[in-house]
Amino acid sequence: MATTHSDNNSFLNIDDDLEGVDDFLGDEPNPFEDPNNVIASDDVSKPTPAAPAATPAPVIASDDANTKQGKLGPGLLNYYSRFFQLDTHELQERLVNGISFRPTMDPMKKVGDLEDDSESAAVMDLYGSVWITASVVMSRFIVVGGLQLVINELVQGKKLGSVEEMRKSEFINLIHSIWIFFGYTFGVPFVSWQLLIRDGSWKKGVALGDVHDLISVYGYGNVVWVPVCMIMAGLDRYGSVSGVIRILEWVTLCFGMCKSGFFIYKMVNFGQEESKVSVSLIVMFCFHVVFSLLIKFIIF
Amino acid sequence: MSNQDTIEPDFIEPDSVSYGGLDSTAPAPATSATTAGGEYNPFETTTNPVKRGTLDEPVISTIKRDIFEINARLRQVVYPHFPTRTLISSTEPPNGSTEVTSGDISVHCDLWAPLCFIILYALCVSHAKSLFSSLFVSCWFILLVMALHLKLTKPFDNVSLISYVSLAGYCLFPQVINAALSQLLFPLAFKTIKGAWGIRILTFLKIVCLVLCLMWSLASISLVTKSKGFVQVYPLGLCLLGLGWLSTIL
Repeated sequence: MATTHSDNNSFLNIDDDLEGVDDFLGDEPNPFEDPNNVIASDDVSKPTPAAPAATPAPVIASDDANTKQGKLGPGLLNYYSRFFQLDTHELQERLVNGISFRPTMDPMKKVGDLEDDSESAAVMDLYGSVWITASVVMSRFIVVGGLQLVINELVQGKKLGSVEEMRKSEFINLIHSIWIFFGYTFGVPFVSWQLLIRDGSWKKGVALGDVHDLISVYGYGNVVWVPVCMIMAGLDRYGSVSGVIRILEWVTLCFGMCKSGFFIYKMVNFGQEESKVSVSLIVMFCFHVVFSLLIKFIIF
Repeated sequence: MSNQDTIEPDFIEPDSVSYGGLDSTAPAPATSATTAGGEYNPFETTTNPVKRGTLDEPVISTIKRDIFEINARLRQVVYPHFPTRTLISSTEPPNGSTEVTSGDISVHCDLWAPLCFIILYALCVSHAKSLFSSLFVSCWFILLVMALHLKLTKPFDNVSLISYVSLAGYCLFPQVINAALSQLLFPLAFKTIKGAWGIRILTFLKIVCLVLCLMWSLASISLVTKSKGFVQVYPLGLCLLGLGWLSTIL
């Protein structure tokens, strides 16, 4: 029995390094309750000799606070929320820049949170990439269906073709639009980024800081596809009637391809001292042409 | 003397579990559902009428209770007399605190109603044919996208992703009405009217119904999630427009 009691009391004698962490009763602020408290590493390296028991707690607070509060891992959802923080005015500026014939980098970046390190203090948003691309898909879908609804059913008062066939073809076209546009906007930048890094076209400190910046550029480059898809959907309706309309379709497609390609080229080369044609840019151009041809032959 | 003499037995606080789903003020059933040892057994049947999950009640009672719960939630979130006084009092922070708002949104999150609405929507739009599965998956995907958008643009609101999915699902209710009217009721009503004018009136009614239901859905989800500005509202409108347009055009 005596042995048991001594064992029980021995638990009280364990040094668990927690002694002193609750002793913040005076004017000294409790670092565990202050989220903004960041203890400098210099302070940690110079422990106060008068209170040796309290030194382990600030060490833990310093390291963990900097790693956990300052930087979120890419696997966390909140990590991506900083790419979606923008107001209407910023979005408007970026959209105008996207359709401008003289695009600049200035509206594309904004100063990020203080938590960011200096290299990525200016971040581009991914909001535009997601929702501009979604708008492109929806614009084509709505214009095609809307024209049919208004001209055939509302004006002429008749239904054309089999209902079941029409339903299936519309839905399949919608799915094709989704994978082509989202695949290009979010898939190709990863390949392009690797190419830019490997052939030396990208240097540290230029406008594009990371692959998500390139995704953002591709996203805002899609702005021009909204009117282009609307026009092509309208022309596609009469494409089988006249050869002139087919030519107009191709001209519209070429305009969209050149405009969005020019925007991407300018953004990628922004900040470079001299514009040079590298292998990576040629491959990116090829991707862009294939993407434009996919739009023409699969969607329209 | 043993260890049992020195170690005191654990003190278990009674859980404040809500047994009514929506009714968090239900009396604790500890007095009625107790074992011989005096401990509460949560799986034992009680006489509490609010308790759910019982196996000895008729199926019709279970369904009726769930429908009433969905209806009560719809009255809060979607119905035209939104915002009700109850929701205003529960969502407006009284003293600058946002905990009430977040709590109110987070507490009542169920996926039962969104599931029902999506099944009804997909049934109406697909006419119970080959597109059903595609529409069913697409609807869930769109709900997830809307929830992700809300979560990403409002990172400081303490609302979980699943709560946003639930809220967006409730706001699908006007789209279900739109699908039922456009795909079932209007065609049935105008089946007798042959000719061009029948098709014209039918199409016109479809477009009017789409616009009204879209505005209803968008107003509901914007108000209940407190989304303001073009940046926050536009993606929600785009997703809802996609769903509404599918039911109009297909």
